[in-house]
Amino acid sequence: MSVNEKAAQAAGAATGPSTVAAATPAPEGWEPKIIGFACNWCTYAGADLAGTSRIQYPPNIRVIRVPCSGRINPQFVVRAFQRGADGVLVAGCHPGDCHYSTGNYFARRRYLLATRFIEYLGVEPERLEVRWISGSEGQKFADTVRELTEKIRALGPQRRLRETL
Amino acid sequence: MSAIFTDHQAALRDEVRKLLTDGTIKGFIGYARGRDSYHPAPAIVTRPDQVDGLILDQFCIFGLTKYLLDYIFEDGKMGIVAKGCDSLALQRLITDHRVSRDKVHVIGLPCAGVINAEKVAQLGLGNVQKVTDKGASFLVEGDKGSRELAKTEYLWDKCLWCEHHNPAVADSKLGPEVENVAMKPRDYSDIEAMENLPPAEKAAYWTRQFSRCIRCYACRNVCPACNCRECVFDIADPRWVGNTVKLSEQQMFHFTRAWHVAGRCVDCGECERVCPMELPLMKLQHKLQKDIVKLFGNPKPFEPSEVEVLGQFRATEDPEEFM
Repeated sequence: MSVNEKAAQAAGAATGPSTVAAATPAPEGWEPKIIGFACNWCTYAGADLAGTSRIQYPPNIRVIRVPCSGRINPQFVVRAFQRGADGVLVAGCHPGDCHYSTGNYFARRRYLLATRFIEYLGVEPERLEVRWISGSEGQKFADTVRELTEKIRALGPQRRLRETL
Repeated sequence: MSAIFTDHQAALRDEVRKLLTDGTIKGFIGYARGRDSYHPAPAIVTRPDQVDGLILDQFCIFGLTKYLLDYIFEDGKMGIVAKGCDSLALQRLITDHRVSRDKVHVIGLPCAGVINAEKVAQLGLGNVQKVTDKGASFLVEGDKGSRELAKTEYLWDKCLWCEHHNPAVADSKLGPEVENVAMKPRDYSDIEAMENLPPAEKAAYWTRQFSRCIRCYACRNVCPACNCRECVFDIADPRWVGNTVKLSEQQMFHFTRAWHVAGRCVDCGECERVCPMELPLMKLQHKLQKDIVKLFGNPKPFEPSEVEVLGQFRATEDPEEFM
């Protein structure tokens, strides 16, 4: 049995009518909505540097400041998607630079696993981005947001994990 | 190698009677006859005259360890019978400091596999009178007929790749240890097949599964790793988590449940077995397990250890993908 046949079997006739509107085109005037979880000590400062340096980046990101990347529970990511995010950026200090010494190392293990798990549930992997962005990397923050916005613009609205009634 | 549980039934009753009589334990958690001969029921006996109600047969699949949590605040010891898989569950509760080792007396039960009662019950054999181990198969004799059933086909899936036939935690053991070899290697080919589906099909599959969930919490209640004193889904106002019966909150529940036991799951498969809606919950757990093996080089993440996979890190050896 080929991998695909097995997959179809595992998915229990996934070829039947799909309950997920996958290929619906984006409504006119749609703009990607991105939630960015930024650690207070590095990425938030990096975003601030991008601003004070007048580096342009798309206004599609809404930054939520958290104490540490270790604080960013993967449930936050799932909930952000459910509440209408088209993409999520998780960002913190580079390994070795954590203000709390080890928070980002734990976050790294967690997100190595969580990115794969969220992808397994059917969210396109491009929609969840994890990046180390330091306080001096204003340009990297701007570039990351720009690339993420473009990737998500190409994918269209996120409809896999949505708040339902 | 005879590994028929029924052979040890008399020895179990004798030992429990002795333990209850001499006051070593104040109660014993075991199996009793359930609604038919395929479905034993959990039973808690506290007096020597109740001991003859205890049974052991080749359908005693379910883990009993979670019942120990009902007795943690009471004085005295509880006795329990544990197969290899149940002993991992017990180790999980002990490692999590939820059950104290000195408050439980474990009667270990070496096990070469448990028959999948759901499959056998459909064969129309009637009430099972006797099960005999024939090596590669079991001879199941019922009052309406008998069949020889190949182990590879009629054991629970988890028993086929089980490498924990003998209890890891035990104060005494019923019968000799059995040879500790898996009948087939653990394989994640169904998980790989899922991974290779396009995102839309994965989402459709999980939507179909999660939308059937009735939020009975049986999966959580039976899970030895899901043992928080206060569960996030039991809080009256769980705020952003949500605990009502609707698709998005069921997605959230199943994501959270699987995630909270990532790296802590002992692979007993009880969540999937108890689910009244037959959700393929172990497909979530096996995905996490497979990735933990690959990413962190932990070959047996289902064996409880003092420091959990997600409670530790290796600064230079962990894969770096986020630079």
